[in-house]
Amino acid sequence: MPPKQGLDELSVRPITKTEIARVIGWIAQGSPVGKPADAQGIGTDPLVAEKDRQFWAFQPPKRPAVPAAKDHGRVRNPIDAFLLAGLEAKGLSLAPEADKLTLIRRAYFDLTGLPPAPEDAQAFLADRDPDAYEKMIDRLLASPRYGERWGRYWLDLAGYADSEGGKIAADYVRPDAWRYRDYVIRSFNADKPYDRFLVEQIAGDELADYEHAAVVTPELVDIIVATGFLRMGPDSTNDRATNAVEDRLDMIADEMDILGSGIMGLTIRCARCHSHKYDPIPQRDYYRMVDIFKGAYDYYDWMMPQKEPIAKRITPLRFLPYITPGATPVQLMEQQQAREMRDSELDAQIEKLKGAREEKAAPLKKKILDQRLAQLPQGLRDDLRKTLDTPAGQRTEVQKYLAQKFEKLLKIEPQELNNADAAYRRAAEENERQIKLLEVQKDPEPRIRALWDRGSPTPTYILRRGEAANPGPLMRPGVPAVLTDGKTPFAAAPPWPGARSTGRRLAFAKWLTRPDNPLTARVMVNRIWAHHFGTGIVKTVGNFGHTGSPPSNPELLDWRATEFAARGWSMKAMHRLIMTSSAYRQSSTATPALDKADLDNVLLSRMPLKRMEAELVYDTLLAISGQLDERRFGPPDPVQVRDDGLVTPIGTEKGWRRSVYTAQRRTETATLLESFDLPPMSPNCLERNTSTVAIQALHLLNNAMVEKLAGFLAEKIRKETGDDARQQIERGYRLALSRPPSAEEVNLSLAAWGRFKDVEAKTEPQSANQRALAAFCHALVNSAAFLYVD
Amino acid sequence: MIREGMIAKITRRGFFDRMSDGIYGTALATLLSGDVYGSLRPLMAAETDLPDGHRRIYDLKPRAPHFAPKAKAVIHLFMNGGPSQVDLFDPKPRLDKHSGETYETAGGATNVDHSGKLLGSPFTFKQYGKSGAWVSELAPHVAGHVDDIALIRSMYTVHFNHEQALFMIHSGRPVPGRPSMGSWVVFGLGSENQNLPAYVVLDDPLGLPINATWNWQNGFLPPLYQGTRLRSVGSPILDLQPDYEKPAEVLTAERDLIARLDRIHKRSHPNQLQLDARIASYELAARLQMEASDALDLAKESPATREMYGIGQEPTDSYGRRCLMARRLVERGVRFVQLYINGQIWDNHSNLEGGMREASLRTDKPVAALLQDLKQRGLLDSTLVIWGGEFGRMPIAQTDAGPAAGRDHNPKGFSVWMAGAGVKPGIVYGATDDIGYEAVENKVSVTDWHATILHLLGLDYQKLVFDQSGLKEKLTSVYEARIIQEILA
Repeated sequence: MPPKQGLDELSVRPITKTEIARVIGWIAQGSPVGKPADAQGIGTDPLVAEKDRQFWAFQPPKRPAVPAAKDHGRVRNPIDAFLLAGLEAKGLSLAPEADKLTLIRRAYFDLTGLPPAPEDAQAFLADRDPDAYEKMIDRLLASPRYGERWGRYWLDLAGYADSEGGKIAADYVRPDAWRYRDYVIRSFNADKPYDRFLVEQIAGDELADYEHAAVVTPELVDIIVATGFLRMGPDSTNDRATNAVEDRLDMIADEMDILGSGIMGLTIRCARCHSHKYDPIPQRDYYRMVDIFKGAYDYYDWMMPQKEPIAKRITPLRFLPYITPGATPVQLMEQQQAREMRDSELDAQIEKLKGAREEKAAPLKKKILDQRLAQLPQGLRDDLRKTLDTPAGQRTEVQKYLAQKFEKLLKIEPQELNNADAAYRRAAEENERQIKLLEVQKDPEPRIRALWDRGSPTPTYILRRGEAANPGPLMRPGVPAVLTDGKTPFAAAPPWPGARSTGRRLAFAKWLTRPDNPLTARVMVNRIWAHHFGTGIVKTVGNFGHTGSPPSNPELLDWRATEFAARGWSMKAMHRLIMTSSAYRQSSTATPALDKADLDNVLLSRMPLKRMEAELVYDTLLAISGQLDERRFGPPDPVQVRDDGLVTPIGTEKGWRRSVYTAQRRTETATLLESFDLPPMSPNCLERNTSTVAIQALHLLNNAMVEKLAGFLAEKIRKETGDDARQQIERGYRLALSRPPSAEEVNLSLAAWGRFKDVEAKTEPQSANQRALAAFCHALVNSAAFLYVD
Repeated sequence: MIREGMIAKITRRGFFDRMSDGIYGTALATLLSGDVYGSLRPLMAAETDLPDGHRRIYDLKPRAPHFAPKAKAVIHLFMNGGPSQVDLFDPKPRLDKHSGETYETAGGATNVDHSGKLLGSPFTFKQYGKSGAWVSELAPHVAGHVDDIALIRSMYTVHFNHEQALFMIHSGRPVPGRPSMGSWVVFGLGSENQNLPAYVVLDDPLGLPINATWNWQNGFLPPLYQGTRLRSVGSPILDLQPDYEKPAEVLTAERDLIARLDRIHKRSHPNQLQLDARIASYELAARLQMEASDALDLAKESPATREMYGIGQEPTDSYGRRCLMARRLVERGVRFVQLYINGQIWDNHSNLEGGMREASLRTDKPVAALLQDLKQRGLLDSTLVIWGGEFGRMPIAQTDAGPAAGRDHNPKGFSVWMAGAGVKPGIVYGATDDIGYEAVENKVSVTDWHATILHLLGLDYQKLVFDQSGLKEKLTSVYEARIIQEILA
């Protein structure tokens, strides 16, 4: 029992008299233990019939024979054969191959999220090697930018954010989430086998005795950071108002949802309150899963997400120290001292900046206050003035009363200062930017936001209707019954002798990554496919159950699923397979005939035209204007939030880093990214929307940062090509669109360039050329050709 | 490059001042020229439509309805959370009498604690107007308008969770991914005003409702038809005006170049609907710059009007602003306006009395003002106002009765109301059982309700279709629907 004064802090409702009476009564009866444990946890489940297991998605994928296509000239690998089988049945074939410049742009965006440099495109055009295309794909797969692109999709799935989110508006910053982000990016770059990747994220702490390891290796740190996967969902249990058992259950439900729909393709979450309405997932399956995770997510022995004065004393926190791999104790101590010194220097600088702002604000504050006071009667005005001049500690009772009563009148919000004086606003915004830049350099005690099994979890009961106060039968750990043979019990053992860990998650992860698991490989190959082709073979990427869409090409799905496991769960091998197929190399040209025969492109009779995703728009703008700071990893870069809600990333001294390194606070998403459908992480995102709305146009047209980047692009072009307008236009096209302009485009652009220049020359003759070029660049990045990838 | 120290924004006033000097003249000429702006003649379905509901052209131009409409515009006052029918519009003397006792008929109910006790309403009801409809003390202002509204007391829905019930009431099925009602309406009818979005969402600056932007998604309809959020504080849309200094003529010429380059791109990419939507979005952006600020500028309203909506007073200011904006938008020909409140303010699981009072205080006065205002401007004849949430609430206390008592979700019976265009005023339709648990008389499904709303707009719910992989999808999905003739004028 925690001390009484801590109960409230820990959101524990004190026990009532009635409850005490009930417990006394129970003891008096000889403390009967109630119903025995649910036997189904260790064997067959009568709620799941053999017939239920026959549904395609619950059967292990079987490797189908590769069909023979009529148009075998188009078959580069089995993917084409499977697709042609569907197309030819309808009298169709694959579309003609796209031209080389289209292909290189498509491939660069798909694998790295950035366009090819004009020189890369030129070299690819000039490469006469028959394997030039395949070599290009291999180069891209080896690029460190690959992990930033594809890791981001995984971060979507995990619900990655740099803040807690959840039920409280405060949306506390989550300061250590970035280590998990870096782990994901590095894992993708290293082509970590998917099975290993999953095991690390679900049960990294059960892979090695990290507590007693003699040497801290990078691998050891990695597997602990990986468990951050299970700490990424929205979580407001930091606040006493939202840390009741019910709130903890909600947080667990989010994680079950992420795990269920993201990795298993099952809407397991539905079974939290009742048995699944459409799939053979009884409610007890959900609680079996909850029990697997109970050693770490024990809602009766909760670990808080952040530091709170009392909680720190009473409950454990979710952090393990980050130890620099290989560092000696002396080095660690030195690091700590260096950090402390640096931080105190930074604090001093920040204080100075804050002081400077106060100083600047003082006359403005006085002016506003005078205006307000002027409306009051003389006597009151004088009293209030006197009150203000008296330091808070020395005020009389009357003055204290006045200060309280007129608190609202006397208080001047920063926003009011900003609104009162444009010059002050600019200075304040710059000041704020500088402070944020310093703050981000501070290096607090390095920690890992981790998840680990603490052993001996409390027992898990089915919660009727999902309610904590309504427990049903006792449950044992287990996986969804429909995915088992119905006979073999779920077995878990401590991972090493003497381990306190239950080993349940490790057993679960190993089950999940068995090659005959019906869902794991299918779900992942489908997800990879969906990112390359816009739509999955199973359209509902997070739902392979009865309410999901059936696979458009089941043989192709199963062939790829078995191929994935056969190739050692290598994701890069999957990309290479897809991208070297004829299907991927098709043109995106749509025709009325294709619209009629294959309107939704289910058969993949052409490549879909894709709008750049949010990060692509942002990162590409930075890259082509020479402002992309390619430093990787580490704490996220801060954003600046303007009074009207505009959120802009704060740059570094070299420009700006890629969007994946920009702070992703749930309530402060950079406006450009949000406008272009960067998803809200509540709790995660399996499939992004593509909206086409006027706010996107307004942002690209009117936003100051976009305009500034267009200016940088113009400077860069001028440096590279000189003053000839025609050459500048050509270079602009090659940089922004990876192709030369057509004659018609050149003529239009030249005419516009002339108009820009004539206007600019009236006011700024010396810089008119440069300004005209900047206007052209601004129009170019606003054109549809920039935003859509063929 | 941004020139130092010159971020003076081009204000709307400045925009028009310069325009009158001729500086923006070319911009407007480009924007308003026929090939971009298009004719406002309603297109006949035969000119654009394919038999499966797909179209040769997707745009927001006004389209002829299937038959003569009663309503031209809709204002949907969405009451997220599920307002309690028995505390607002559906008094149950028997429930009040037996408050604190158990009730047999509720046994086996879906989402109710079996041991729960009946919870009478803590609020008193009175009859109002000529029609004599009963309204509780929570809605004194709306009560003054009972003779304008048709109250439906027999609504029911299919799910007791917010998420699914919200999907149901917005899009006709309890699953994500389908077009919302507003999307269907603007897909069917386009908009009378090409300078503002056809389907506007005015969400609460304090935060989004459950399901967030999914509530106004376009689903499988082209993205052009999704709801556009307009901010009700500050500038209605971020980035509405250039946030940098550039000569107006250069801005104009830039936009002109973009439009021309896009036309070339479109020509080389036939049959790509995304590009149509994208070009339309740039055109709309240009027109928004001219009209959005004006449409949402409440300073243009008289102090008396603002006072009527409760603007400048707490706690009505925020919702009052959105209600008044809704009027200004429909006045300008916007087809569908949807208002939201942050969180789930009607989700009174506990502290029923305090929670409902708070929610009512925030909304009752502005809603009544909207009805009053529309009426006195003659707009209520052509504007359909709908009020309601995603489900109702249980007559049984969720926790032990007492001041902390609240009510759980109840999909089996709830109240909504409609007013205006084509709706029979001053009637009460349907009934729940004697404790207000389940709709029993003249039951109205969400599907019936959707079909009736489309009907008032001149749309046949069975003809407003969009082919989706061989299935002719409708707002009402595969469900049977009945137009509620009894509430039509």
